Amino acid sequence: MSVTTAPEKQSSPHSDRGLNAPGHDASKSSAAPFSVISRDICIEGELEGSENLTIEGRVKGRIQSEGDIIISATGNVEAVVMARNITIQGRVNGNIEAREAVEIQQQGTLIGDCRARSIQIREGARFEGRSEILK
Amino acid sequence: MAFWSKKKKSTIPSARVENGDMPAEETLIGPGWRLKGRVYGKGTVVFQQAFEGELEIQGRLTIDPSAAVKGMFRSEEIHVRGAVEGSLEGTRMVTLETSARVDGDVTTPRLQMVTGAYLNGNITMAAPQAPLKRQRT
Repeated sequence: MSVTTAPEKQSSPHSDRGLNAPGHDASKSSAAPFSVISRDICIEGELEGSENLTIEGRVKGRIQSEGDIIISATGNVEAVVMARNITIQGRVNGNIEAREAVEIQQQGTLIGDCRARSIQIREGARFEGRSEILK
Repeated sequence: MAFWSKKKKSTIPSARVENGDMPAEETLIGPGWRLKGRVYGKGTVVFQQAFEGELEIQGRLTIDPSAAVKGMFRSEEIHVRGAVEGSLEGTRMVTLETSARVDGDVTTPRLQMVTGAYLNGNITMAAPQAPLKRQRT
């Protein structure tokens, strides 16, 4: 049991990630930094953001983004999802809306309604719900 | 890493490519995100913006300088570089870096405070192996 006072340290390695990540090109919107929810993490609640997000874990609730969202193969989402582009490689149970494109990739599952300017459902994907193309 | 980016046909880049060699166990809530609710599970969680709610993880929590978080936080290790309002419970250790601003109670067996860190609250030193009593704000 101890309380210690230590000298100042350098900033964390995390400060080199995200916006400052090597190879990041801010001029391309699709190359914006990705936030990540890893596979062993569950989030229940509301996520609201302007950036891209990759979901490898579980999310319940509501997700709203100005950027792109990828639900990767291990991702399990029970939420309303609104974003610019939505790519589903894992499982989504809920209504989704993309201002641009929705892509349900091979092995991806969407149970819920889908609204987007373009919807692409790859061979092997599963989709149960209504679809609507936005103009 | 490289072969993933070559195979990928989507116009949306892989997070792994964008974030470099980030381990899969790490959750990063970047500067453009606000999160309200409950977070639980295993691994490392890094907050760079706003969070309000409850977090309980087996692993490490880092609150970056750009982050302002509010609520109850329980993890094995907690590293604070940003602003916290609420309780921190590190079952292994808590570190308050120079940019840390904490309004709330800290419970841990090991506490490290770097010069310049601000803490307004109670410190409870808990035995390392003893189960910690959960506190709610």
